[in-house]
Amino acid sequence: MPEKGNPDRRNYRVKKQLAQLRINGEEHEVAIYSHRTLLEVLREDIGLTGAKEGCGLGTCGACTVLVNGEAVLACLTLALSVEGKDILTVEGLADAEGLSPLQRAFLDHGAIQCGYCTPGMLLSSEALLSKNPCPDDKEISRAISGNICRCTGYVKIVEAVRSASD
Amino acid sequence: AKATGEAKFSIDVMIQGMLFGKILRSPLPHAKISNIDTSSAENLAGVRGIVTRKDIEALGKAQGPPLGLDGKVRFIGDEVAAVAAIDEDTAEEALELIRIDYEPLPAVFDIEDARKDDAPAIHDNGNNNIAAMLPMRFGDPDAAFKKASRMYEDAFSSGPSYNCFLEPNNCLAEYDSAGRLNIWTSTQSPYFLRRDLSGFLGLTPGNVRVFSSHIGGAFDDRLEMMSYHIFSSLLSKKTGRPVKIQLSREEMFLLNRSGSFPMEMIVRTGLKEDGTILAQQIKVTGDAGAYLANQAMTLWIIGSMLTLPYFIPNYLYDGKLIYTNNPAYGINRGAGLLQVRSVVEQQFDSIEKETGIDIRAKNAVRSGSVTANGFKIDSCGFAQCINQARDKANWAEKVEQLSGHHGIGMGGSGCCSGAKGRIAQDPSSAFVKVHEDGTVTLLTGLVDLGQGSDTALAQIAAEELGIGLEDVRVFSGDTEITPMDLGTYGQRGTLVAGNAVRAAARDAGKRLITTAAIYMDAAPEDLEMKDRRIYVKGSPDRGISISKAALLSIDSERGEPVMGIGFYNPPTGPIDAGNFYGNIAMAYSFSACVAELNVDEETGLVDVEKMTAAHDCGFAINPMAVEGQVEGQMICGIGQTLFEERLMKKGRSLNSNLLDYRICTAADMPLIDTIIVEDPDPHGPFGAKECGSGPISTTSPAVITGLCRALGSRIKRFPVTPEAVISTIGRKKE
Repeated sequence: MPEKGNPDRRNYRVKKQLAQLRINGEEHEVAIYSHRTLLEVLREDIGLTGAKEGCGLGTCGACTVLVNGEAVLACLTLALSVEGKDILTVEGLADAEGLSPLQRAFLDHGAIQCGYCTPGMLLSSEALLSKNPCPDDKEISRAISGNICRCTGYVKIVEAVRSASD
Repeated sequence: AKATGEAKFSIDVMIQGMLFGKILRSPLPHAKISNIDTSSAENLAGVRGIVTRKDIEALGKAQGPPLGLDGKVRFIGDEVAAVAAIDEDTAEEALELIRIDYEPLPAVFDIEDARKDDAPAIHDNGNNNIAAMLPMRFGDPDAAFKKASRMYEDAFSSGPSYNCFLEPNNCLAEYDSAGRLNIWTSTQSPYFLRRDLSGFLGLTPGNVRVFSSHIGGAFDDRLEMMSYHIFSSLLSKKTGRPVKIQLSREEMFLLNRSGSFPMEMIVRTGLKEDGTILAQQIKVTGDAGAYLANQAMTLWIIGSMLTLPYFIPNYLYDGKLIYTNNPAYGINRGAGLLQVRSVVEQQFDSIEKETGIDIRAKNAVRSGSVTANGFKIDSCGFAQCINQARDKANWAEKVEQLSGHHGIGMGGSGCCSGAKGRIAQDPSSAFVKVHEDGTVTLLTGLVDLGQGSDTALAQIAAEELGIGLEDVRVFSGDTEITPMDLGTYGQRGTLVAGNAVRAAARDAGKRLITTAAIYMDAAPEDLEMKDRRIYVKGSPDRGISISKAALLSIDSERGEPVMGIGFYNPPTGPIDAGNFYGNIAMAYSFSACVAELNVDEETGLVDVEKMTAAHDCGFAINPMAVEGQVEGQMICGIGQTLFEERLMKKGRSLNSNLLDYRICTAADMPLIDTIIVEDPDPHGPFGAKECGSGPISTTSPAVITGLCRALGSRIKRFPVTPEAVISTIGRKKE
C-alpha cells in the first residue's frame, strides 16, 4: 500500500503555480510550489547558480540578490513574493561591455579567495553604492557585515568597494 | 569566473535526472541499533532508494569514515541511513518514516569522566577510552629541568570550535552504465578521496573519477573521505541515478568533524638565569569525540610545531586523545597551535616582566638551527619578523604608555612548508603543454581552495618559460586528467607543487630551446627565454617567438609536440616512525605579530584595534595573495580567540548556527598592517615558502598577551569571551 506521508508536509505541495519572474532583465515563467524560496528557484529551476547557499537561515549572506535594488536574502524570500519585481543576481552584473566596476575592483584588489561569498558580497556592495556613492570604510563594513567571508579577512573587500565608489 | 557567478563549485553541479539524498541521524548519544525498518519510507511516493548502516556494514570493511560499522551509534547526529528521492522535501519526509529501534547505552561527555575505570567503553578497546597517544622526548629534558634556575608551569584549557568554511559539504555521485563512479565534491585531496572511496567500495581507483574544481574553503577539514561520500555513492548504485547529498549548516555543526577539539593543556618551561630556554614540557589532552580521524593529525601537528619558533634544546610532549560521546571533532584553521602558543607566550611575558630580558629575541630560531626534533632550518627571517612587527607597531613606546584597559601583545610562530612524517612520501606532479600560439596549459593535481595556488603555479610556469601570466591556463582537481598530487594541506602547495610545476615548465622549455637552436643554428646553452621569445643571450633581436618554436616542433619530421612533465618529492627525512624525529620539510616559514586592543570594562567586549603582522614567506610570488592570506588568518585567529566556541550539553550542540556561533564579520575588522619578510629559501621555487597557516598561530598569543596587559591578569581559558573578561575583571577587584 502506498505510504500517504505526513499531511503537514504534503499540504503545501498540492499544486504548482505559474510564476513570472524578471531576472537580470529577462522574463522567466516557472511552475513552482508556493513554499519554494527564491534561492531554490534561481538555482534549481532557472539554472542560475551564482547565488549560493551557505546556511539556508539568513545568517551568512551568500545568497544575497537585489530585488528592486534592495539587497535581500534569497534563502528567506519566497519566490512567489517577488513576482513582477526586478531581480538582479551576480550573473546580471556584467554586460556586453564587460565586468561591472565593482567586479573589476574585486579582481584588481584581490578581494576574492575561495569565491563562495563573492556573489553576495558584490550585490550587498552594489546596493550600498547605489544609495551611497561615496561611503566611508565604516559604512562599507556595516553594509557587508551580514555577508560572512571566512577567507579574506574583509580588508581587501573593503578596499575594493572603496575604490569602486566615486 | 568567481566574480561573475560562472565558477561552478561542486554544490552548483546539477545533472539531469539527479535525485536528492538526505541522511537520518541518531537522536541518542550512545546506543545499539536493534532494528531498522525502512518499509514505510520505501512506499512513499517519490522515494527512489534507501541505504542503511547495514548496507555499509555489508561491504565488509573494518574501518571507515567516522561512522560505526558495528551496529552502534556513538553521538547525536551519527549516521544511520540515507534516502534518495525526487526532491529534498520528499527525502526529508521519508526520513520521518524510517523506524529505528535503539537500545540506549550509557554515555559520557567529558574527558575526565571518560577516563574513569567504570566509564562506558565507547569503542570496546579496553583502554579507558584512550583514542590516541603521542609521546615525544628529545634531548634530555629531565636533566635540563634540574639545571633550570627559572621554572614556569601553567594550566590552560580550551573549548571546541567550529571550522565554518562557507560552502557546506556536499557530494554528487553518479555511477555510469559502465559501472564507473563519478564524484563531484569539494575536497582538499581528490587523490586521497579516490584512493579511499575506491578501496571502500571495492572499485579499482581507475573506476572512480573525482572532480573538485572550485572549493568554498576548507581550512584542513576537507581532507578525508566522509560518510556522505559513501551514502551518495551507494544510493546512486542502488537507484541507477545521480544522487546529490548536501548537508545543512546545522548538520555541519552536528556531525561534521569540523573545528578544534576541547583541550586541557599544561606547559612547563625551564630557563637559565640569562633567559635561555633549557627545556619545555607540553601536555595536551584532547576530547576526540566519538570517532578518530584527523584529530590524531592535529595532535601530531601540535607536538611537532611547538619546537618552533623558539629554540628549545630539550623537549617533552605528551599528547593524548580520549573518546567521548560528543561529535567526532576535527581540525580548525591553525590546528590547535593558537591555543597552546597562547600559554607559552604568556609565560614569556611573565619572564620578561620579572627579568627585563627579551626572551623572544634571545631564543629565536635562526637559519642553521636544528630543532630538538630534527627540523633543519635553512632559511629563517624570524628575528626580522619580530623586529619589523615591533618597529612598525611602535612597540617600545606603546608598552610604556599603556593606560586603562588598553593592551598590546605579541606572538610568534613557525610553520612547515609541506610535511612528511605521518606520510612517508610527499609527491606532486605537473604537466605543461605549449600550444602553437605560445600559450600554455598547465595541469596540476593540487586543488585551489581559494588561497590562489592556481595563480601562483601559473606565475611559476610563466616565469620559467618567459611568458605572461595571462598566457597560462590552469586545470586542477580532476583525477582523470590532472596528474597525481597528494592535495592541498600541510602548507605544501607553493613549495612541493610549485617545484613540480617548475620542473614541468623546464622540461617543456628544453624542447622549445632545442627546436629553436636547430632552426637558428645556435648552441642551446646560448639561448634564453624571455618576453615570449627565445633568443641568443644578450641579443633579443636574434631569436624567434615561443609560438614559432612550438609550431616548428610539431611541424617537423619528428612531429613532436611541446609537452613537459615534472614531479617533485621533497628529499627530507629520514623520519622516525615512532616519535617523528627528523626533518619533515624542506623549508619552514616564520611569523610574528603585534596586537593592540581595548577592553570595555562594562560589557567585557574586546575591541582589537590593530594587528601588525610580519611573515617570512621566503619570496612572495604573488604579494597581494600573501597579504590576503595574512589578513584572512588575522581575522580568523581573532574570532577563534575571542568568541568562537561550540556550546555542548550532554553531546548536544546548543549553538548550531551562525548567529549563536559568532564568527568575525566586517564590522570586527581591525586595521591590519602586513609586513612581508623575504628570506629566500634555497629549496623553494624562486625562494618561496608557505604563507597559508603560519601567521594564524601568532594571533591568539598576541591578543591574549595583550589582554593580560589590559586586565593585569593571566588568561586561563580559550576562547576569551566577554563573560570570561568580565569574570577576570571581577576576580581582580576582589
